[in-house]
Formats: sequence, C-alpha cells, structure tokens
Amino acid sequence: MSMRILIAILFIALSAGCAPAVHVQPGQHVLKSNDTDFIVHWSTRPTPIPVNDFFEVDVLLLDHHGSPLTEAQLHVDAAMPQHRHGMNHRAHMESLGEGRWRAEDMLFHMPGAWVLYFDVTQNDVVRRAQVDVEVD
Amino acid sequence: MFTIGCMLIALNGTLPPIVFTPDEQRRILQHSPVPAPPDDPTNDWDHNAHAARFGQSLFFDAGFSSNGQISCASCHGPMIAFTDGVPLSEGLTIGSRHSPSLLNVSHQRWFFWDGRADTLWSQALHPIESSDEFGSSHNAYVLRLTQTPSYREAYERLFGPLPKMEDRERFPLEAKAGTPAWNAMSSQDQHAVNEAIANCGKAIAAYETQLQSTGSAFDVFAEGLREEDPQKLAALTHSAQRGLKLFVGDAGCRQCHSGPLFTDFEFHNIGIPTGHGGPPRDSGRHGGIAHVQTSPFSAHGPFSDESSGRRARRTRSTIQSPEHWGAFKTPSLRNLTRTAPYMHQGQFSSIEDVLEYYNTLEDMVVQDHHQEAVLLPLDLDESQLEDLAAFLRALESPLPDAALLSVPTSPLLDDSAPLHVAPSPPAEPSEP
Ligand code: HEC
Ligand code: HEC
Repeated sequence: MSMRILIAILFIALSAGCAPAVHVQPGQHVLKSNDTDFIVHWSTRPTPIPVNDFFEVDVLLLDHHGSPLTEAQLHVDAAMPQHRHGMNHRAHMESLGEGRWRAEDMLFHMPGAWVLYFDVTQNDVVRRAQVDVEVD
Repeated sequence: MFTIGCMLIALNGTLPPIVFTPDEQRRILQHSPVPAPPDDPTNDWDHNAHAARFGQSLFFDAGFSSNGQISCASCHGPMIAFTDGVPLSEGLTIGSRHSPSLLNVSHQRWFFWDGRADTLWSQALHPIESSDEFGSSHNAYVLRLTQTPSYREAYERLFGPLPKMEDRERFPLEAKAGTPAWNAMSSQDQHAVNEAIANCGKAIAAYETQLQSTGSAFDVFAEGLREEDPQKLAALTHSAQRGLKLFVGDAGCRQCHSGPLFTDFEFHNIGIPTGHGGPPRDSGRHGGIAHVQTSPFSAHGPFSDESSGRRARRTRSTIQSPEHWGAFKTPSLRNLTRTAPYMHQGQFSSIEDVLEYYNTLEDMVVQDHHQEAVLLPLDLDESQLEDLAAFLRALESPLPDAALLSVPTSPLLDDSAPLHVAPSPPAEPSEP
C-alpha cells in the first residue's frame, strides 16, 4: 500500500446560511440532506478513499440551525448505481455522542463512480443526504 | 486535483517508445509490488516456522484420505502453481469446480470460488470430510495424528495434548459433522476434535502462507516506472506494454482485477457459459455467504484466535443479495501461464479463449436484472488481443523455494530454526 490512490471527490460544499455551532475540521466536506433539513459534515480516513481497502467515515450531523442532531440514528451506506450494486459489507456504526458518528468497515471494492448515503432516522422517519464520490 | 507530472517514456529497442500518462502510471503502480503476506489475527501460528513445517507434511500426506491416495497436493500440484491442470478436480470422485492456484493465497479475503471460508485455516478443513476429496472424517484424521509418532510430537509441541482418540466408542471413525454418530458424541469430545482439527488447519495455513510468488517481468517494469530506469522498463516487450495500457484503460480489466494480486478478492457474475448450458445451477457467492456466516470454524467462531475482532465482524456484516447468485471470486491473474484451464469450472483452456470471451461476450448467460452490469464486448482487433495476452503472460513469477515444493523429510523442524518466517507487514489501518 505504498502509493496512495488519488481520487476526485465531487461534492457540493454548502456553506449553510447559518453559522454551525460546532467547529469543522479542515478536509471535511459539508452536505445538505435531500430535503435540505439537516447538514452532514463528513471526512474519511484515509483520504482519499482507497480502491478496495477498508476506510472509515467520520460524521457530524447538524440540524438546519447548526445544532448537533442528538436524537437521531445514522446509517452510512454506498452504491455504484451504474453497476447496480452496493457495498458487500454493512458498515459498522459507532455513535460518539453530540451528533458525531463513525462508520467503520466501509469498502469500495471497485474503482469508479460511487454514491455515499447518509441515512438519518428520527421518529421512524428516514431522511437521506447523498454525495457522488469517484474512486480510482 | 490531479497533478500533471511529466510523462514517462518507456524506451524499448528502436521502436517508437510507448508513453504512459500520469493517470496510467498511477494505475499501473497500484498493481506492484506484491506486499508481504498479511497477518491473520484469527490464526496465532500463521507465521510460525514450526507450524509451517508440520503443515507442509500434512499437505503432502495421502494417508489422510479414505483410499490412502489423495493428498492436498493431488489437486494442488506444486509444479503447476499448486493447481491440477484439469477443468474439474478429481479426488474420490470428480467435483464441480476447478482447482485454484495456491500461490500468494494468504492475501485473499475469502477462500473458495464462493468464499465459503473466511480464513485460510478453516478452508483446509473442508476437503477432509468432503465426499469428492478425502472422504474421511475429522475423527479419523486426528486419530491418525495420535498414531503417527512424528505427527504426534510435532502437534503436541505446538498445541498441547491431543484428545484420547484411541477410545473408538467416544470417537467413532464414521462420525462426520451432521451425522447421527457425530451428534451422539458428547459436546466436550466434539469440541476437543474440532479444536485439534482447527489446529491442523492453522498449521497447513502457516505452510500456505509461505507460498509467495513475486517478481514478474511486470514488477520489474513497474520498478522501472517508479525509478525512471530505462533498463527495468525494457523488462516488458512493446506488445506487453500496449496490453498493459489496455488493461488499465479501455479494456476495463482493473475494475475487478485490481491491486497487486490482480483481484479485488470479491465476487462477480461475468456470465461465463456453464458446462451444462442454461442458467447457473451453482449458487456461487450466494450460498458461500450463508455457509461462512454459520460455520463453527468461521472467524467469529469458538476456534478462531480472534473471534471478536474486525475480521470476525466483517464476516457477520457481509450482505447477501440476489446479484450474488452465480457470482464467483475474481481470480488472481499472476502466473496464468501455469494455471490453465481457467474459470470456476475450467471452461476455457487458453488465455486466448478467455480474451475471446471478454471481446465478444458470446453466449453470455444473463440471468435477470439483478445481475451486476459491468461488462460490455471489448471489440478489440487481433493485434490488441495479442498485446493483452502478452501482458498477462508477463505476470509469471518464480515458484517458491524448492524446499516448499515437496514432502519434507520430517514434520519436525530442528529446534534451532527461527520461530518466525514470513515478516509481518508494518501495522497499517488497511488489511484485506
Ligand atoms: C479433489 C481435489 C482437491 C483436494 C484433494 C484438495 N483441494 Fe483445495 N481446492 C480444490 C478445488 C476444486 C477448489 C475450489 C473449490 C470451490 O471453490 O468450491 C479448492 C480450493 C482450495 C483453496 C481456496 C483457494 C482460493 O483462492 O480460494 C485452498 C486454500 C485449498 N483448496 C487448499 C487445499 C488444502 C490445504 C487441501 C488439503 C487439506 C486441499 N485443498 C485439498 C481441489 C482440491
Ligand atoms: C466485472 C468484473 C471483471 C472484469 C471487468 C474482468 N474480470 Fe476477469 N474475471 C472476473 C471473475 C469474477 C472471474 C472468474 C469468473 C468465473 O469463474 O465464473 C474472472 C476470470 C478471469 C480470468 C481467468 C483466470 C483464472 O485463473 O481462472 C482471466 C484470465 C481474466 N478474468 C482476465 C480478465 C481480463 C483480461 C479482463 C479485461 C478485459 C477482465 N478479466 C475483466 C471478473 C472480472
């Protein structure tokens, strides 16, 4: 694993109109949910995401006022829509409190176009934020 | 985001040089070198030289099969990269799949074409009771260890006392997992036999971990790219270099044949026509997942040396979905020159036949819309196909040390031998 792999990450950096209450680490990406109701800050370890090697995603969930989403469950998932398949593993989710989560055992086993999904469940309702990620 | 470095020119004789773009170079270097064999946290003996020597003796010993004629080496012959050269392997009877090479096998994430074993050591237990292979039982296997003094000593030095197998009432020879005779044994006796057989698997895995084969002409070329050394770049012919360009580019092979072993270690259905015609009857990965998640010998089972680690968790969290029906593990492309015929049933007898399939996808078996959709006919011309074949042939590397290719004189290694053989790779967050 000497040569780390380059990726191009396509993401929409949304500086939400409100100041987030929590400090955002450099290298983090920011994303709005599809219904624009919550905000996802995320980063991966290692960065960029390697082809066919395990990686982790650190996540901070904020509501649209910029306060941590505490009463919610997060599941991180991913798929390659063009190939009609997802990941071969379910990510292992760890709640770190105050809206922070870590997804482990993430594995993009093929190079190409992936979509990363952040599925947030609150009061039995699932809402999604998603972002395109190119791994090569 | 991409830094455009200077293009590197591969000089080769007097022909016009082949130019690789920075993106191509980056992709090429993902395939080389082969790293040191990874650590298997579920096997405390995987890098132990004494265990490897004991395992090597077990590997070559036909005395463990019910007819006394079949050893692991019968279907994994060292001189042909630990394969058997026939489409479907033959033990006691002809089986339903082709024998894969064991060179570099310890790098794999899953074992068998369907990945029904999640560790190398647990894979080694399958042939013993399989009616196509040894047709024996774990009880008979462990009994033979207790009755063979050198095995007994080798085993007990590593793992401690063997169970009291001489008591045939407690340990009937016909007892195989799932049979009434096995179910009638006490749970302590079952556990004792399972533990002993798992330890034998761990010793065999330690031997297999030594079966590394690296340093092909392609690896020399990749070093040349890294070091900008024209002499090393000349290790690949022009034709092979053009083939490499196709491999990492338009032919799309690296989508599945990725990394230094030229495999993603995962499963795909590439629609190869089955030997019997019609849709695939072999469930492939679909059945493999079900098996590996319930086997007592899996990474999360009681015989694993790290039953709650990451490896174990990943077996549990593996997802089974309809697209896995008829999907098989992507094979490594190293040493293809030694491992014909190809595919899970040995459907193709030559590299050319394989490439012809990818080129036309003739007779491809498309099951339904659940199937993964990656392959399109390549439509390459004759000379491009020759280039691709030349590149694949340049992935041949020397066989392991001769001492590993035959029955050792004794299952016991002399005491002065160093305990650890293969170096463990540096601790990294990544692992297969
Ligand atoms: C009768 C022939 C035969 C015998 C005997 C046999 N094998 Fe195999 N081996 C095969 C076949 C065929 C496969 C693939 C089967 C499948 O995928 O279902 C295989 C698969 C394997 C694999 C998995 C490789 C991979 O890349 O997934 C390993 C490792 C292996 N055998 C080791 C052994 C060992 C160790 C023994 C002795 C204990 C043994 N084999 C005995 C035929 C045989
Ligand atoms: C969608 C993933 C995928 C792509 C893309 C792909 N392969 Fe494969 N390849 C596989 C799988 C899976 C198998 C085993 C299939 C089986 O046995 O059913 C395989 C088998 C092979 C084999 C046989 C190896 C052996 O030991 O049996 C060769 C050679 C091969 N591929 C070469 C190539 C080349 C060259 C390309 C590019 C033109 C390519 N593959 C593209 C997945 C892929």
